[in-house]
Amino acid sequence: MEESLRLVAGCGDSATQAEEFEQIVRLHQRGIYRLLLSLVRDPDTAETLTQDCFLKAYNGRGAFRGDASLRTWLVTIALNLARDHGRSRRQKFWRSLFRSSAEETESALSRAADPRCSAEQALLAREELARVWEAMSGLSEKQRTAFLLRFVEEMTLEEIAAAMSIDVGTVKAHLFRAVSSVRKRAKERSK
Amino acid sequence: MKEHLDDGDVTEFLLDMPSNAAEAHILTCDPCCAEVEDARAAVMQIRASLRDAAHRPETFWSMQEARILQRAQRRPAGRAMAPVWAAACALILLAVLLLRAGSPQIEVAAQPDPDDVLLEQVQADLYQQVPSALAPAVVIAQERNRMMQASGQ
Repeated sequence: MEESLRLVAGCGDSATQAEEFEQIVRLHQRGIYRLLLSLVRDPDTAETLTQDCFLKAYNGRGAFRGDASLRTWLVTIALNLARDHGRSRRQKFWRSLFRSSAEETESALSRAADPRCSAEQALLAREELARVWEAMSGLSEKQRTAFLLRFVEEMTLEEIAAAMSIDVGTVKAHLFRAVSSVRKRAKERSK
Repeated sequence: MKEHLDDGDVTEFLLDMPSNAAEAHILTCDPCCAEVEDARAAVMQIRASLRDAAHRPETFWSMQEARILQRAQRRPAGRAMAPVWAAACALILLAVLLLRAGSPQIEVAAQPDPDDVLLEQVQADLYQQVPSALAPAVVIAQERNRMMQASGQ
């Protein structure tokens, strides 16, 4: 697929480029959307940011040198978009004055629930998701990112280090703290 | 014999990279084995929950794919307009140059610096035999001498 992106970068005619880009989108959109949804916790925002991520990759395809895998590169773009979104969201604090965070979370949860489920299953899934989001909210941004990339996206420590622009030792340190926090919350819950 | 596993050891099990000592310990220690299993279950539950939350029907993915491709094919407005702007700027520059070349040059006489004028006057005064203020007296004296010479003849 790295070969494909190099082709998209300028070799080959426009029809071939479009076809290859389509393949890249088809292959990676689920993972990128899932990561963004876990980070921003809003399905609509995750959808928009997923589109932005692929557009940024397409427009900046000339800058892709193949040092990291294509997936790692896309994840790096997605992480930057999620971070920028988080910043702009914090700036919009006036809006939050008129809409409580509980209300916002409830709305996002109902939209994020798996549409395959029955009403009862959906309710249980929403409760479980709320617990997961709560457990994740106890982590710092970097701990949460490292945790999601390792345990949800199943990336290697080296890939995570490349995507987060930190070294492998720091990734491990974030993971240790994240796992420790998650275990602590799980134990508290089971008491 | 290793002590009970700490958070770091448990995390290393989850990362599939436990130390030999930890691996040996877990074989003989039921509480630590249970700790690792609980941690694994907690992580797996989070993973499953987040993956389920991101599950969407096929139509969602095909629509999103179409939207991405549509947006990618649409050139950004700024980039599309760039050649037009460049051509317009070049035309304006050319027009300004042509207007300047065609218009008559108005010669503006250089105004002397008043300080220089004053200095020149002072310099001239210094080189005169009599100060400027006494110049009329010199003329009168010269005229008188001329008249006396004429009457003597």
